[in-house]
Amino acid sequence: MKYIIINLSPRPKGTSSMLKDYFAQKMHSNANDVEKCNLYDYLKSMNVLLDKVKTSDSIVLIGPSYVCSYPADTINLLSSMSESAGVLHGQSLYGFIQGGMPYTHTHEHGIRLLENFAENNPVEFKGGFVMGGGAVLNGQPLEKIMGAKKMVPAVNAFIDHIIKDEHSSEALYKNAAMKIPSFITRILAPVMTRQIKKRFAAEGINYNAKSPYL
Amino acid sequence: MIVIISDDKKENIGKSLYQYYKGKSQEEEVEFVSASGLDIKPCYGCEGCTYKTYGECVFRDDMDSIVPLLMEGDTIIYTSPMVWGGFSACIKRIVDKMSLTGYRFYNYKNGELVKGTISKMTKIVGIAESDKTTENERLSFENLLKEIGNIIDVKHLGRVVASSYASTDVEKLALEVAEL
Repeated sequence: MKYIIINLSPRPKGTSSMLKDYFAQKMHSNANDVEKCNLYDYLKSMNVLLDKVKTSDSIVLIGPSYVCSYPADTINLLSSMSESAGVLHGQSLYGFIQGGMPYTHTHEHGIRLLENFAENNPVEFKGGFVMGGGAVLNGQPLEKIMGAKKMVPAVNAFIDHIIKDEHSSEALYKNAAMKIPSFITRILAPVMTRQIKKRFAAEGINYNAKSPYL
Repeated sequence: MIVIISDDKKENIGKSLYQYYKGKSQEEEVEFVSASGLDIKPCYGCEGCTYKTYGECVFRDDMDSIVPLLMEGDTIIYTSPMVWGGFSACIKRIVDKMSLTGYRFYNYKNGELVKGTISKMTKIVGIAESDKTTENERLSFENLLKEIGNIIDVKHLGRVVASSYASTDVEKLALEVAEL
């Protein structure tokens, strides 16, 4: 099997990039042919990236959640794959989306997008994984994520499904997600707000200033 | 003020809604933004709008003329062709820059963390136009608007219309938006 892992994030050293490397390392150790790429290296011309997709058997898309789904240029990538003859020919497709909010439902649209894409194109969607709280990592190792005890084995299980070319169920990421009790959230909101305000104060940022656009 | 941001080279519902609002009342302030062909750079997630130039994108593009409308509009309507249960890339590039009008802190609502907005927005609406839409695509689109609305803590509506929509469909959509 030949795999391509595409980091859909514009940030070269963020959490999605870290995950791309994490996935590649685990998949390589199983003696697989794995190629990893950053979408934003190909924004001006996607031809080289499309050729890499064309010669792969399995496509793994890993990206951040920007306003509840993958960033806009993921849609440009999918459109290019769809419109270029022969690029898609029955490959397996897996998606991973991670975002700041700790809830899976906030980011799940990214997975639905890929599912709907696969319904309309010659590619087989085999599962997605949603990871909340990913932005807090800011590129640090996966083991540092909140709730790592459940999350890391679940991500590893997802990678195993990719290696075995199996379907991965939604239950995998839903069971691994942090369940924050309501009373903790009620405390968390002002605590997080205070931390952000403290950082703004330390950096001399006036967050009460009028929007520069007005 | 109602602001309609439309990928109008690929759908017509945005312009139809604009004409409906203009024809209905001279008093209703309505702005129409043709997003097709605008120079909107991707959001690079650089956090410059938070830690370098607070509230302002560090990159100069056509968002500079759109953000003031997003700040002043109380109803923001995005119209787009249906693209696999979501917005077109053109509209999503604008949506991706929502942090420019976003509240930077956290609030508590219905057991979850929410963020909010620093703009006058009270309603966010997404309308996708399509020749043929699967049930999964419709649900995906409606849920997307629900999640966006929840995060910024405003009323929300996601709707899909057939490309062969009638004027009564436009009126029905406008009524749904008004009743939110």
